[in-house]
Amino acid sequence: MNKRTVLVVDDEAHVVRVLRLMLEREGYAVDCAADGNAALAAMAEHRPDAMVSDIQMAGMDGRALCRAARERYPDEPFLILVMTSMTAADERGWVRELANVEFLEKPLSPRRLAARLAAHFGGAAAAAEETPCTPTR
Amino acid sequence: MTNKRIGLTLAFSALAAVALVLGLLARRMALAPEPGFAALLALAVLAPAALAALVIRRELGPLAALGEQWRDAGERPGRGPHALAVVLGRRLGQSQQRIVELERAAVASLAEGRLLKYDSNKLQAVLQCLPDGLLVLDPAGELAFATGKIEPLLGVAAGDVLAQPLEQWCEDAELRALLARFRAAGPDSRRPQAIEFNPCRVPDKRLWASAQPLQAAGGELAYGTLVVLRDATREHLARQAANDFVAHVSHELKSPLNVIGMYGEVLADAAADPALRVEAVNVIQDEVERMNSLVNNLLNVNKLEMGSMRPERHRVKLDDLLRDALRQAQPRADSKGVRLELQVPRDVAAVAVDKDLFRIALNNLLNNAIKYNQRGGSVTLAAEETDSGVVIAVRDTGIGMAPEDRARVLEKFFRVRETGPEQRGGHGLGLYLANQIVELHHARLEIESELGSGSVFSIHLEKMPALAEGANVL
Repeated sequence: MNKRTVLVVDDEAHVVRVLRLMLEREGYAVDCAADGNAALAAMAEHRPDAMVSDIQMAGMDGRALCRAARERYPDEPFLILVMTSMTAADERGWVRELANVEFLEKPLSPRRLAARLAAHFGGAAAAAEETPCTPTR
Repeated sequence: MTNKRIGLTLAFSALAAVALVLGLLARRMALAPEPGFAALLALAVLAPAALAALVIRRELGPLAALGEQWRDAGERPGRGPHALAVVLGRRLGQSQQRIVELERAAVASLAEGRLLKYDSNKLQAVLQCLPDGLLVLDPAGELAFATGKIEPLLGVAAGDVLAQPLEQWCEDAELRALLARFRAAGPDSRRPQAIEFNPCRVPDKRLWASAQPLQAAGGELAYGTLVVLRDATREHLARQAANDFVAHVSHELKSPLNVIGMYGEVLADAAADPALRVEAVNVIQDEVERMNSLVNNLLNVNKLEMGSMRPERHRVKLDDLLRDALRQAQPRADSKGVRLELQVPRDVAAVAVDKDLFRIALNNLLNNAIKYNQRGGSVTLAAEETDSGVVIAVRDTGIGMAPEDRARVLEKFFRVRETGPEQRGGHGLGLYLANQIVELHHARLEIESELGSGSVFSIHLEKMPALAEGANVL
């Protein structure tokens, strides 16, 4: 059975490491990128089933990455979870303009992330059903 | 109608009749083709003469009256020459007194006029000296008064826009909207209101504008609207900088907290691999130290920017100061596998520095050199005398910097973008703070760096002259 793929995007190496370890233990395949441009390149090679991204990164930030992902792949609105410490309403409004994008509050709990992904994928978290658009790994 | 006016009317009527008769006679004598033309010609000749007679009579009237009085005084029965002289003397005295009074009144009026002019000029000078720009619009909305200060604020010269309606010269929609509220009758037109805006003609400025009705005491008389314009650019930039600072610091603190939280969950996971648990403990310790360093640097930067960081410079033996700094950095270097070396002659010249502040600067330079180094690399702290002073150098065999990063590395919050697998996690304050402390000592910090080879940070200080015997050294 094909594993679902989660793309983790963060310039903080420790965050990427812990999320990779936890998600792989939950049965996901994990791709990693350190900024928005690297994430788009990874997406072009292999479209993820979900993406977890930080906002503030050098180069292309998380906000620009989310917009670019929706513009490039409008028919594949995979779940995007954005890690944020910004609490002001005017800094969060942009998410409502995009389909299937949600906030995850920092400090991030890997367990909470796993639960959110499991809920999104309908309980069978790691096992992908027939997904004609997702290439095999 | 007075007798005088009846007389004048009769006189002019007679004049017109005479002119007409003369016109007819002229025609009869074939001197003029039309009687009307002749009448007009005669009127043009006679009218100035009559007018002149009237003017002369008017001007000579007081003299004629005086002559009447004189004649009257002389003709009164029972008055001899002596009585006449007394009466004349009295009248002369009265006339002279009256003339003196009139002269005094004229002088007082002239003086009052000059004083009013002086006060007006002084008030104008006061208004022109005010740091804020002033506009006064009359009730019709035209610009009745403006000080010269409006030119640097709004980009229009006062002289160019006086007596013009606002819509003709003011391009700022927010300002026009504010003043429109005062022209419309309503509650808004009776109380002061203020806005902030960016003027179209001077877009890099931020202005505060306050408008209020200009009225006489008691409110019966409305002169128009008074507008005060103030340059609020500095305050606006300071607010923006403060907001950016808070946002940045919040992010810088939440990032290590995020890592600590995640590794905390790893430690709490009973099924976690032992090696991963050890890694979690080390990372948590590193992140705590990172936060501690950030908080300390923030406090120091805040002191610096509030102006409360004032160096107290004393003569200091440099070799002791540098040895002490290296000792403090040793544990950190050991944990990173970086070797520390000291190259300082024992007899190097003394310098005048604030020991505590200079320690912070050296500490930040050494931490930077260790952080951006590789395992097995080295950091050398050296000092040497030159002709003009003393140079303290921190040399490392680390990752170095690209030229574009070297130009910005002393900026507040600037961090070199790290592309390698190891993320050092700086927060962009250490080098900024070190440079500020060096500048407080009237010294300069120079940087040499090559990507992939390492960097040298050099502090150029003035050396102190040799001490007299018995002098104190810290």
